[in-house]
Amino acid sequence: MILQLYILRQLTITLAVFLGGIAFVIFPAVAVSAITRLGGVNVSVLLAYLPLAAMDLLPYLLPMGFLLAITAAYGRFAADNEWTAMQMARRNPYKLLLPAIFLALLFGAGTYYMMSTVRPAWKYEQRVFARTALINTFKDLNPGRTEIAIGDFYLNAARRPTRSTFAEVVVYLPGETDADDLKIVADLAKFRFTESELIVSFTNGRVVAGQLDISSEHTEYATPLDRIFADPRRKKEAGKYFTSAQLRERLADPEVMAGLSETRIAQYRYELQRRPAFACSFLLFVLFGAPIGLRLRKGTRLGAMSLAVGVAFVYYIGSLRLGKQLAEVAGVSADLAVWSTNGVGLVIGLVLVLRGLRR
Amino acid sequence: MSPHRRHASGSLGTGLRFGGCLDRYVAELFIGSYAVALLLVTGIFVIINLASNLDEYLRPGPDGVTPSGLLVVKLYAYQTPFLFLEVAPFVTLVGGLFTASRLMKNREVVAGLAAGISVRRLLLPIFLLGGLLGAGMFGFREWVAESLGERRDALVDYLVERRPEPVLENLWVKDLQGNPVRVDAFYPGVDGQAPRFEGLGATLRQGDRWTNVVAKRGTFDAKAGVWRLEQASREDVYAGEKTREKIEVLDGALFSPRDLRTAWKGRRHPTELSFEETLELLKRDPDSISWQTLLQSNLAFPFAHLVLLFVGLPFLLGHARSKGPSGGLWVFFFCLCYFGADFICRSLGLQGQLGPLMAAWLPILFFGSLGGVLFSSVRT
Repeated sequence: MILQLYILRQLTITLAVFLGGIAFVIFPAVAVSAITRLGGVNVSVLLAYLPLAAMDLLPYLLPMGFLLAITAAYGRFAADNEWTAMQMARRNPYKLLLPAIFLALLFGAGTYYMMSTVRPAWKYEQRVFARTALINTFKDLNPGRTEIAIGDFYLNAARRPTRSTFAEVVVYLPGETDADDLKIVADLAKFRFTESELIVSFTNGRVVAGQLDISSEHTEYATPLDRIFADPRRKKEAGKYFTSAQLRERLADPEVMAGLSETRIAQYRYELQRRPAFACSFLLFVLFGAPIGLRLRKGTRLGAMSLAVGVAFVYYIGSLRLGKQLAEVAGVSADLAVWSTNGVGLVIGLVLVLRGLRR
Repeated sequence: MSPHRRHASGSLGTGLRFGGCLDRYVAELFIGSYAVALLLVTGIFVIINLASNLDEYLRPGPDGVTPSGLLVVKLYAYQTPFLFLEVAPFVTLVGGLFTASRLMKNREVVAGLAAGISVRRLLLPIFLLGGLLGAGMFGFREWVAESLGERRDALVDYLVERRPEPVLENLWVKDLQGNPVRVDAFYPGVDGQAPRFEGLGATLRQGDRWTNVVAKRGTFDAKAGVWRLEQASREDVYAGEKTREKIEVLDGALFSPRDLRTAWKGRRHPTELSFEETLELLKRDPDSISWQTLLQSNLAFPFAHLVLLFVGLPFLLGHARSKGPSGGLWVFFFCLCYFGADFICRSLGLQGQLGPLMAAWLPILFFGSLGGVLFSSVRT
């Protein structure tokens, strides 16, 4: 028991280091993506958006960090001859994997909960948050900012006499179709917002492109906010926005099923199976990571970890493509096809463990 | 001459010749570690990028045809240098950490100390190579942006939009006077085709006059440096139709195909802009805080290689072997703080709440100083 606890403690510390390391490697990518997507918003809003953006990557980062940690930890045991000492003490080598399997079950359960319950809501929340952040930034533009480009909406001004007024302005307002788009130049443009509309007041405006009657010196024009900021509700039918419980409900409801296309139904079924299959990757990575770490103990741990990254690469490609190929080409049921990569991985992993730990 | 004075004639007072056996050994270790760290860190990035996008790239198009996997391989061959540029300082840090870790593991640091060589002198090759790599990143970014960016974007356009040729849509570019010009669709031209656009609307302010130039189509004549227009006209906005005149040519100085592409890139991938591209955008929009901040960030980012080494290595050197993982945690914590500070400062700079110079250089200066203090306090 003491030995198992020691191994568990070492695995936990190594896992913390690797997850921290991966978070630190990924942070710039997430930050860059946030800046690109929400350019111009406040720092506090960007910081609040980061966890939502990072949530997208967690299902891939956690298993990879886990695999690297297993490889590094067992590699260290071998490099420091602790593994040899354990074997000399006639410890069953397969039982020495139990702490890793325990962590794999823990992380697998957590990942499944995250993917089936938490992530769908957060994914939708991400789109809503981004939209709200952009609208709020638009409503409260930083002084001195004279150019705004959001989707098809564009504004360029020579200066800003007040916070909500733009002088010598060119404004491009998207219409319902391309033919309805408007381009207006004006001496002054003032913006205000209602719950669902952007209202622009022009002083001495002229329509450069499009159809709008600007006959008086002061004209107002209202455009729905949905035309400028994409409405996230439009895409809410995709499987990734529903929890697993909601997907099962929809698939069990004949009325809902009647309104769904074959592709959408297949997508829901695939998503339902993909989540637990993905959560099982932690167990697979124990079977791969431990033998790799033990075998490559003579070289640098860096080499072992690079190999582990290669394993993760093959697994992710396999999980993304093999299942779909089997379903489309070989006519295998989509539910089974999703688990095909795990099945192949399990066989290979068991062979690796049997050969690697027996030495 | 006394033995003490003989020793003092060597490099940094240690008797160790610069570029000697020990320096070459440490440099070789670092290069090897760097190469593997490059595979490891960039590999993680490629995997995550691939896992997020592969389904989109390989979905069947409207004609039911699935793109060849080789195209995706080609895309990632173009994409990987960009991914590498995002993580280059981490790769240097990971390489440096593993080099130092290996020296400590083999007790070579202890041997060096016993021979009278300070840890700082021992690790000098790592810092020199780190500095060279940082300087090299600047040139590498320029090369990658110019040579690979367009090809990468063309492939992404094909895989995502399934169009036979790349199209950049809804572009806004400024002329040299800062007037906005809209282009509905720009075709950069592939396989020797001339760049062309559709749907031009240029609203130019000259003094008190607003002039509007519209064109249905335009093709760039590279020899003459002009756009050959179709169904194009120019009119005074306030005077109306009576001032409308037909035009057939638009001066390429207003905007060139390169300017359109740079403007598009500035909106879609601002952090991938090269120094030269940022300068071009700044020339057309000198008051833009965003371009000023990005310009300074381009200059400051290569220094991150050295800063991370200065911040990260002392934590590893200060810990005994059994406490290595806790040292590793501290390294990542401080490096995360550095990138957090860099992110916050850059965001404040892009909003105009912090000057461009401060936004770009404050994290470098603060953490560089902190790293200097940490490194100078390492026991040696």
